[in-house]
Amino acid sequence: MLFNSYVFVFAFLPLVLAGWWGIRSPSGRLVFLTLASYLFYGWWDWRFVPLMIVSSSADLVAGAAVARAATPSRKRLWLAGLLVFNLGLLGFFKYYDFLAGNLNALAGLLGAAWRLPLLDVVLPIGISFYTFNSISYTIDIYRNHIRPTRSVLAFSAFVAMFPHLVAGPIIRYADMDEQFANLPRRPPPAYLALGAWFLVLGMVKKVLVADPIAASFVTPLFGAADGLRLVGAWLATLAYTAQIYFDFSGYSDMAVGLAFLLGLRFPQNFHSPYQAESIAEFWRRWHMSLSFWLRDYLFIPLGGSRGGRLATLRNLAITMFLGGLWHGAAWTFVVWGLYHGALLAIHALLRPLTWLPRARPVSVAVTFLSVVIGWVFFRSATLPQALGLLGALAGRRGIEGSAALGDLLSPAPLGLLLGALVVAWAAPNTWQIRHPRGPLAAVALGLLFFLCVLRFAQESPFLYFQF
Amino acid sequence: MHPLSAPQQAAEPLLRQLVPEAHDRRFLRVVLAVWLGLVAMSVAGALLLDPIGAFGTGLVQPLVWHDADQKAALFLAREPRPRLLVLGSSHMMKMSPRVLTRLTGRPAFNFSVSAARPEDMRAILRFAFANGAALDRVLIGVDAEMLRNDGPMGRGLATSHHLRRYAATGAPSRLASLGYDLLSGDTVLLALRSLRVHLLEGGQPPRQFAIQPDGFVEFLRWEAEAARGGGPPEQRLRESIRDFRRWYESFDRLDPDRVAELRGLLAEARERGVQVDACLPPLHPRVLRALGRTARFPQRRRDTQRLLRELEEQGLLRLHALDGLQGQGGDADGFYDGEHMDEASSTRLLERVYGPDTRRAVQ
Repeated sequence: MLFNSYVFVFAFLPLVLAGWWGIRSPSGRLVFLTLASYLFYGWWDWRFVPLMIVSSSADLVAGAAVARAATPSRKRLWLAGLLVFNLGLLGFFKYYDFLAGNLNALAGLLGAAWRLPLLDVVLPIGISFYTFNSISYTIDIYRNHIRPTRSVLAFSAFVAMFPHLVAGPIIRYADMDEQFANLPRRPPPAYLALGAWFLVLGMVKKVLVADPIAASFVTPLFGAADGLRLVGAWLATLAYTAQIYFDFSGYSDMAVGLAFLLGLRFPQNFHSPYQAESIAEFWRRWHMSLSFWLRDYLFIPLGGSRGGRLATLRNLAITMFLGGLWHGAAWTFVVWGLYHGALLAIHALLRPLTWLPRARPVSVAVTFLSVVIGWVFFRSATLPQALGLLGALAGRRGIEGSAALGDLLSPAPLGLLLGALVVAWAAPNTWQIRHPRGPLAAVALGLLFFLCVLRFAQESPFLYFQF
Repeated sequence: MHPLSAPQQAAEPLLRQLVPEAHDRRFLRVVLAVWLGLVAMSVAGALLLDPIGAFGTGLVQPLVWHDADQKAALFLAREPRPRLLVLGSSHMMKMSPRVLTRLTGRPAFNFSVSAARPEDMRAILRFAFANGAALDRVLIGVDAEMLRNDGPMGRGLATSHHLRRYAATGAPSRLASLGYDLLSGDTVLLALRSLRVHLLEGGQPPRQFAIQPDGFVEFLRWEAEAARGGGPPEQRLRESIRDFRRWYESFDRLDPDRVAELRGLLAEARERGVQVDACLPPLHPRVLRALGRTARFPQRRRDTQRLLRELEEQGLLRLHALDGLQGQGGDADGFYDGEHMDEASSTRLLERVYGPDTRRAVQ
């Protein structure tokens, strides 16, 4: 079920809000939220609901076992077992065919006769997100940062809750435990007003900005990526840069808004990333919940920046390589991750050089351009396509003739794209805007919500659902 | 609290923007009232004005052209009963039944419908058999585009009064299109246009199409433009190229369900002793050039040709290789846009299929 769908807005959400606020018992509400979330998830494919239940149950059991274990080695053993189980599930569903395909190709090159079967494994939607959500729970218990939950219901609701289930933000149990223990009895008006505000603004980003940009530029241009020249290549890449930001930050705002409507708080996931002055700052602003997760559960355990310059660079490369691979089983994602690892390494090397000029507009522009180049790998279907597109961006395929330019440059979509980029570069984000409560703002919000609903017929899943 | 997580700190400043609770309540009430009011007005407009003819309320004449149902009604009334049927999308609409009758000696009917998919064509064939057609020939235009997975099976049939019960996979649910019919940008704009037409323009919407009793379609506006000469307007060619790019971007394989429907159609035709002739309708050379260097367009066209050849080898159809312009006489001006041939081009194509060179085989 999509947030931007008729069934969600007109049936699922009203029923869930009525049930959530109508049930008095806190445990009854958690059961209700969990079951509603299973329905939300099962709407795509009910066969994967048991998988999510098994995955989260494993964390529940392992978390309790880690806490009870008498010796550090037994704790480690339980944690390792849990990681093998959860990452094994993720690995099988997400990476098996990729791995098998590459090993088969390698075997072919080496002249070996064996081949692994390709299983065409269907990727359960959101598996990367809920696996990371629940893994962090057991690791945090292992590190003595949290105690194991006393409420199976709260843990089940934490993993399954529909606002963040399929595309984040990635939440830690510590973020929700106290909130579930102190659920408000009646809907706080401030939460509801903020919920409506975030939900509608997020939907506007997705439905009225990202989707039209995708339809006008990204989809048709990347569909013809092999024939793009200078202007088309830049237009495609900049349009995707805008689309992915407005799509994913729009989804995150909607998730935050839905949590507010339930009287809960979710963390911020985007903080104007295209306004970052360095690549390191970009990663503190882009998909923040994933960045912090990778920092806390991968980069720091690898040694972080404690082991000298070379070790730091190695840890950055490993973290970003795995971060890239987390996004999808394809070499384009691997290269994208390594590219960002390299950018972070370069930044780490240059940072101590005080003589380097640091004018903000230049820093923002250089950072933005570096990120835009990275999106070429992220969006391209194959590495050769990405390399071809990079060549086109550099002018190696020449420039379009006037007829082709006419095909590309329609004024209205171009205006929307430029407007979106200006907003991303210069405007405050949803979390920074002071939420107006006046009647005009309310009328505008109601009207925008209506305009969004009118576009639900053009069903368009969020980009990050595929990861 | 977890020392490293960055949980709700960001929400705190927002929640500290203290305003009296009454302001929040009023804000919510106004948002909901505006939103629900607009939704209610749109739904009421869709139901009462029924601009796309989905509900049959009939208070005013629908603006949307329901060619499938109109053609079904004409087919039922057609005498003598057709023995040759044209199936396909709007690309096949200018295939003239008169020309077909001249070439084959059979009464013919053009039952090509807008945005046809294999499941639509199969339902049409079943409808024709169920209503006493003595068919022995079918000409079918199979575009690669009709084998996309671009929505639920049978969506086009869901609102068809005549055809929906003939869907091979069961009658499609009205729910699948209810959201669109009641509350979409298209519906709202059409309802407003319908209101304008009926209040300010005498109640008759401008006619863009006309269907003759044999199913032959006249594109009134396009044909008037074409009469002035000069080929398809540049703007319309560009729109076609954009459409094709959009359609093919996510078109990574022929939809197996739709391929199965096509096979099912052909199998049912063979059971009834109907000879099926098939072709890939030609496209304007500008479209072929623009899309030729893309990743998916040439691949999917090749996949479709391969599929048709395979079906031919199985004896399910006779394939006529007419997808290049040379197949229909080489006239780039013989199009209304990047994909719709005019009558002269279509006739040249029919002559290639059923003309003297091939007539012996057809007979």
